[in-house]
Amino acid sequence: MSQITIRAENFRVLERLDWSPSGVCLLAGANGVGKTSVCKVLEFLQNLYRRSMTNAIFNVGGPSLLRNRAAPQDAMVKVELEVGDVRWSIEIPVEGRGVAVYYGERLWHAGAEVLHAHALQSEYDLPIRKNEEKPERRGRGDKTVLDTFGTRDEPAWLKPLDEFLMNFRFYSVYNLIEVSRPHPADEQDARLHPGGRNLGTVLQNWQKSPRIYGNQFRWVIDRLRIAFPDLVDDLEFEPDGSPSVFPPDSRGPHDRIPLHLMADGLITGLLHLTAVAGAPANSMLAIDEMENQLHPHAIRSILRAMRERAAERNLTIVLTTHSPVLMNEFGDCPGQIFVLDYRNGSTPTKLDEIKSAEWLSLFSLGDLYDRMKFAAPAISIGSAEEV
Amino acid sequence: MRVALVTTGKMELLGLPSALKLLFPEHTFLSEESRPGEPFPGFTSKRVVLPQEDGGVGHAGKLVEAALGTIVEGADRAIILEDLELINQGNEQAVVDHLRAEIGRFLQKPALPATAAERLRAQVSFHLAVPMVESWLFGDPQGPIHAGVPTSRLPPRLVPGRDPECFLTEDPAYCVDDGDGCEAWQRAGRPPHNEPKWLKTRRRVEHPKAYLSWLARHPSQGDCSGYHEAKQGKRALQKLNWNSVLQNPDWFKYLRSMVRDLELSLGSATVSTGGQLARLTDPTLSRPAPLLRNL
Repeated sequence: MSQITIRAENFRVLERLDWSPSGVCLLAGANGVGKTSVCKVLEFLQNLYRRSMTNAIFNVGGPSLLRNRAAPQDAMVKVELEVGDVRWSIEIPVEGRGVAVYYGERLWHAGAEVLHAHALQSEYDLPIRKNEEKPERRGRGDKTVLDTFGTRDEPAWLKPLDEFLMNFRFYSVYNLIEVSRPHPADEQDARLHPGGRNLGTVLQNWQKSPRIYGNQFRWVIDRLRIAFPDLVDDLEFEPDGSPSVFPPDSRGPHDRIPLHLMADGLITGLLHLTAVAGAPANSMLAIDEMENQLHPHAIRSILRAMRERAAERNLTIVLTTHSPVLMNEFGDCPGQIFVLDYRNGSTPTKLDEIKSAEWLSLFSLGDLYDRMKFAAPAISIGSAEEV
Repeated sequence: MRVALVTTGKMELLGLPSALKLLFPEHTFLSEESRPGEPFPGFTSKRVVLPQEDGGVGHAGKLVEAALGTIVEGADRAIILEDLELINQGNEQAVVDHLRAEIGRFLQKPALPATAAERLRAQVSFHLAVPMVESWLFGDPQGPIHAGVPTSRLPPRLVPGRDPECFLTEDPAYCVDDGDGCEAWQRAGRPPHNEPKWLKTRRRVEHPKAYLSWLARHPSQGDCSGYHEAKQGKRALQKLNWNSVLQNPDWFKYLRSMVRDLELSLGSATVSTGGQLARLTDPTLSRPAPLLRNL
C-alpha cells in the first residue's frame, strides 16, 4: 500500500491534523478529542469523491458542525489526502452556519500541481491535453473536479488514490437491530456495509463462491471460533439468509443460535472479522472503539486476526480505543499507538515519541493509560508537590 | 539530587516532599502519582503472604515499576514508602519477602532495559511507615496540633516510654467511645461509609490514625472528625519537627532507616539522626542477592 497521509484544518474538533497511519494501529485519546473525527476526514473525502459535497457534509452532521468552533471567522475548512505521490486537497469556505457552493479543489502529482479549482469560483480549467491549444473550461457541478478529470483523462497515476477512496471503510457504529433483520440477497454484495446491515448476504456470497472470494468465509468462522470458543463451532444460514451459529456442544439444528438471539458481543466480533476479511488488498479500514461489547479474550483474539490479515493483504487498520486490554497488546510496538491529545494539537503522535521506549518497557501500556500517563483528559489537579 | 517518592497514602503523597525538604533542603523531592492526585494502591491492607506463583505483577510490583520509571525519567533516587498496617505487625518479614518476590517477577518481564536490575539495586529503596504515617505525628508535640487536634485535648495519652512505631494509647474515654457524640453521623443514620475511624478498627488503641481522628473529633462533621489525611494530615506532615521525632535513638527505627538511607545519598540531614535502625530495611547492611538498595 502506498504511504497514506491525512491532513485537515478546522475540521470538526480537529484544529490541524497531519497523520500517516500504517499497519494495525491504535488511535487513543480522551473523549471528544477527535479520534472519530480523524476517521471522518477520510469518510468525508470518500463521500465527496463517490457522491457529492452535500452528501459528505450531511454525513458529518451538517454544515454548522463542519468547522472547528475555535477557528477564526474567515478560516476555511481544509481536508487533504495524499496517497503515494498523488495529493488531493479540498478547501471549503464557511459562511455563517452554511458552506459556500463552490469549494476549492486541487490535485498534485509528483509534486506538480495538475488541477486547481478556486474556491468561490463557478468555473475551472482542466489540464491541457495533447493537441489542445487551450485548457478545457468546465462549470462546477455536483461531481468533484478530481472525478471529472479522472473520467476524462484516466491517468494511470490516479489509480492508487481512486482505489483508496473507493475501498476505504469506516465502521463507526454497527446497527445491531438492522443487522438482525433479513437483508435482500444481492450476489454482488461482497463488502460489509459500514452499519453492518448486509452481514448475512456478504457471508453467504463468500461461502457460495470460494473461487471468487478465496478463503474469506472460512477465515471468519475459524477466527470467530477462537474468539468465542464457548459459543461457536460453525456457522450456517437460515432460509432468510441470516447467519446462525452452532455452539461446540450442539447436536442438531435446534441447538443453533440465530442472529437475533446471539450475544451482542458475538455479533460485534462477527462484524469486525467480516469487515476485515472483506477489505481488498492494500486498502484501509477504521473501526471506532472496536472493544465495545467484547470480552478481553475476544478483543485479543480479534486483534490477532486483524494483524494476521493486515500482514497478508497489506492493510492499514486504524482502531480508535479506550481499552487498556487492547493497549496491552501493543507493548512490543508502542509506536503503533498514536495519541491524540489537546496538548499536542490534533495530530496523532506516536506513543514512543511522547514517552521514551525505555520507560514504556517497564509498564503495561493499559496500566499507563488507566493511570492517565498518556491520552488523558486535560485535567490539572496539581495536588502532588515537587519541592 | 532529585528524589522521587512512591507512596500509598494521600498524606504522604501530598506532604512527604515538604517534610523531607526540611531534612535535606538542598535537594528536590517529588511525589509520583498513580493517577492525577492519587497515591498508589498499597499491598499491606490485608495480611501479606507470598504472591501466588502464577499471578501477574501485583500492587507491590507496580510500586517498583513506578519507582524505576521515575529513575528512567531522570530521578536520582526513588523511595517506596508503604504503611505496615496493624494487620501486618509481626509479619514484617513476609511484607519484605512479598515485595522481593514481586521484584523478581517484574525482572522477568521481557524487553526490560538491560540496566533495570542494576538501577533498582543502586537507586531504589523500600521503607515502611509503622504502623502508618500518623505514628510519626505523635513523635512531635506539635504534630497533633497541626493535624487539627484542639490543645485542650492534649497531650495525647499514650503508654509512657513506648515507641510510637509500637503505638498504644491508654486513653479511657477513647477506648469506650461508641460514636454516640457524633451528632452529624447519628442524624445521617450512622452510614457505614462515614463511620468514625475509631469505630472501624477492632484494634483502636494501637491505631494512630484512629486516635488522631478521635482527638480531632468534631460532632458536626459527617465522619465525626476534623482530621483528614489530605488536608490536616498533609499540613502536619509538612511541618513535622524531625528533631523531636528522631530525638530518642531507640524510637522510630523504620523511619530512621529511611532517613539514614537518604543521608547515604544526599549527605547529612539538618538534624541529628543517630540511633537504631530497623534490621529489615536498614540501608547500611549488606545483604545476599539484593534487589533494591536496602532489600
